[in-house]
Amino acid sequence: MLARWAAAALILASGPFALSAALSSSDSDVKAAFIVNILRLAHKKSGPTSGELTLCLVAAGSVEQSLRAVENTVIRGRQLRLRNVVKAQLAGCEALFFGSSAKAEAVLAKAQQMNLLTIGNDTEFLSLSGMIALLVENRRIVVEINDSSSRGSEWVFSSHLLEVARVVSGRLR
Amino acid sequence: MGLPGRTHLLWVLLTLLCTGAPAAQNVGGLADLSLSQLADMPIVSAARHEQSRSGSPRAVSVITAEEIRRRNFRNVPEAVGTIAGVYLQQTNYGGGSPIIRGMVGNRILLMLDGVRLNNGTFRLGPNQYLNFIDINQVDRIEVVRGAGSVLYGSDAFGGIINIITKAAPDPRAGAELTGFTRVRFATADASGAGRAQVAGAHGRVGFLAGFTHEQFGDLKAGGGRGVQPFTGYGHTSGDLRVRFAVGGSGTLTAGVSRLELHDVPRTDILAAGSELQHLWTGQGRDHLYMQYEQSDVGPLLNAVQFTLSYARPFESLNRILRSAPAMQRRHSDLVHMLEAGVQITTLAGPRHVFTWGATATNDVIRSSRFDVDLGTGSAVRKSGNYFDNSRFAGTGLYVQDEVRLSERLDAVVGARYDRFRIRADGSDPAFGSLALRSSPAAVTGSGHVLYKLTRTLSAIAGVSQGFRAPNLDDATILGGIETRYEIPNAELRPERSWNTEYGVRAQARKGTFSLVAFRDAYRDLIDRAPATLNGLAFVDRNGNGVRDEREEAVFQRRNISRARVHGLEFESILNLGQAWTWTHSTTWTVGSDAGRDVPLTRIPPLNGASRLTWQSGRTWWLEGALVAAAAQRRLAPGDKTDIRIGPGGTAGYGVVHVRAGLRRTALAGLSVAVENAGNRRYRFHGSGIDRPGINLVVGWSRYF
Repeated sequence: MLARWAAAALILASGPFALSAALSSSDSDVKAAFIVNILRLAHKKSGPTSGELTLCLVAAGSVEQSLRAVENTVIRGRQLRLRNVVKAQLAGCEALFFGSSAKAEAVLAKAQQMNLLTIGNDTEFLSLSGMIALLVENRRIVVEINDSSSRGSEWVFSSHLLEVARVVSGRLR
Repeated sequence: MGLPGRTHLLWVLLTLLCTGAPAAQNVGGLADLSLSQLADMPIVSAARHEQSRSGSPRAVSVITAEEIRRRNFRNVPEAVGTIAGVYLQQTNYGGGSPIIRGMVGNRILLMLDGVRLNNGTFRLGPNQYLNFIDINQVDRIEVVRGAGSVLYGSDAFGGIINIITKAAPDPRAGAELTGFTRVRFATADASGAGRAQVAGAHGRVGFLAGFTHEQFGDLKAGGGRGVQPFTGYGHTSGDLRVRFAVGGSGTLTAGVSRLELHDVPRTDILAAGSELQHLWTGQGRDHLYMQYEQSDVGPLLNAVQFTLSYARPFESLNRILRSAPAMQRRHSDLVHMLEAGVQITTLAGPRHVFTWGATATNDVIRSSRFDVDLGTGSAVRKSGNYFDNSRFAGTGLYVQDEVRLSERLDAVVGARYDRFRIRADGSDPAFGSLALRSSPAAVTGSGHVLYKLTRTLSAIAGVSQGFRAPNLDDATILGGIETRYEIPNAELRPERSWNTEYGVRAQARKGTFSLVAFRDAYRDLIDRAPATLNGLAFVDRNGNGVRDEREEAVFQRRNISRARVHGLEFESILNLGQAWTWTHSTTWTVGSDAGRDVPLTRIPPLNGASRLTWQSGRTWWLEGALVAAAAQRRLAPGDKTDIRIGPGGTAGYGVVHVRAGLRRTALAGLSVAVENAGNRRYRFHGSGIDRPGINLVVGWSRYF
């Protein structure tokens, strides 16, 4: 009898945990979803409006696997394509995701010259003049936009993105 | 047919834990959610640290990899000493002990990649162990101010300093091979340092290996004082970390490192002349560890981290007392530290993230001393600083819930249970034999909240309990030290604290600021108290019943002290246009020994730092910094007799540093600094050395 009560109590107590299984996602999955949303809510003033939208990846790590699951998604009428960057060859890229800032500096400089949308994954990214960083804060993903870098670019962010993101200026944080 | 009760229970458990892969939302489903919905979705990662601190209800400060690279710090203590809310005490040039909220030494928890540096021999008062980590290996440093015993256990009393080292490259990010060489030269200590590092990844393996060597000469102080003898030393270290990708989301990291500081003198004692030699001929730390992390293991196991670590801190110390110039005491202490831990992160609904786990530590001390007659060369074995093979072990269980109570209100609550075992066997001629067994335990809890007042402004408040378990240095010291004779105490209880803090924090386009007030109450603090041995207050070595000239007074460590500490911590970063940034911090601390109604020992003066930085593009940056502190005249009775402080206290100071950097290409960088440009003579409160006088520091890095 005691065991049955214990079993019932365990099932009840596990309710929220069982629920969590349906709600939980890894940070790389959530980051991939953020990237897709950012691409929906950002556009280049003189950019193409048709054809494929190429997101290039630099050392994307586990986020690449998550992004592969949403490759071919249609974003503003354009099909999302992923491409790994080799030897800083950025021709054809419209946006860039950096899994780490460790070796980002040279590629970032080139991306800035080519007016590409740059998205990073750590706190150092914005100090290297990256445009958007996805940071973990209080167990949630926070979007930070570098005011200085984005102002100097041809990219325009929708009010919805600016409402959710935190806009910061300067290079030191 | 009914199943027996136990089988029912087992079945339910198995059903809950083994329902196959977790039914996580797929990425496609997530991508259909709005940004606001995504921003509210809790995520898990195995590590305890986060990338951004502005959402934390705790008072946390960070030095990032970028700052460490730019400012070209000499060592880890110097870097930690620049963090808001941390004050650095330096007994010698080869040491450096952080003071946070008035606490120092074994009342601050030092951690390396989540593994404890503190062990069962950490003593009351400042220590040098933070310098047992090579700054070249460090990626970032996080400081949690205030008690953090719920997650971190004993010693997380005044604060926690977690050093996070550079990780080996993630092999999932693709094949690569990188490396760099770095040199650093400085004039005030005539030092030269070099580091070579290589990192790479291929297949499912990434690795990082490095080697550092540094030599520091005697340090020249400012204000015409000249070179300070007994300050120079050397440093050699090497490290290797290997990272394996296991399956889709598992990562196994294995690391091995060795750091040794050579010929480190204790400046204050030698300068005062009470000892003719006080030299650590070798001190440092060997470390071997493995860490496995995996996310999405099962419904209750959204992220799991296992840690297994073996560390071996060692010290070889030679001393010659002025009172016995023909005798050299050779001390050798070595600690075998074993630590194992498991930490699990569990999402419970959209609002709760539970972090729970267990840790176990086991420290075994090897301690010896030989007295060498410098005339004849003969050596006599004596008792070491600790009883050989004495043991300090602990186990802890903890749970913490990060809960989103509403869109504006986040809370973190937690509880922990710890139990320790102390074992020491030995003897002393005056005391007789000792078989000390002690099992102190502690239960702690904490609760912190963050309330978003506006989009940019938040209020934080929290209460935490802290504790420090009595260790071997508290409970088992037996024997004479100069005019004092200490006897052990198996009845010691953990030191305890109640810490409260509240403040406001803002993060806006133009910058950030944080203002935190704290009020801490400590009780059962361990201190030396007069005691008796065989009914007498002194060691009656000749048995005549009266205290003769060379017979020591008897003392014992007891839970006798209480203390109160309160203060304010302010830090801000203001972006002044495109190129200029102003960073400022100020810390004010007041501490009192509540039992004796006198000031608490080693409380830092009002201190702060301001930095104005200019950066143009990626190529150049320039920085001017003012570091200042008021005089500290509010002294504890022990401070007035401490040769590092004295009855007059410590003078205030204000010094200017100028730094510049040039990134010639992405592959090469130069940094130049003129520290203490005014060549002022100054010292940090409680220190045994003056700070460097005018000091030209040049660093050059070359990457490939």
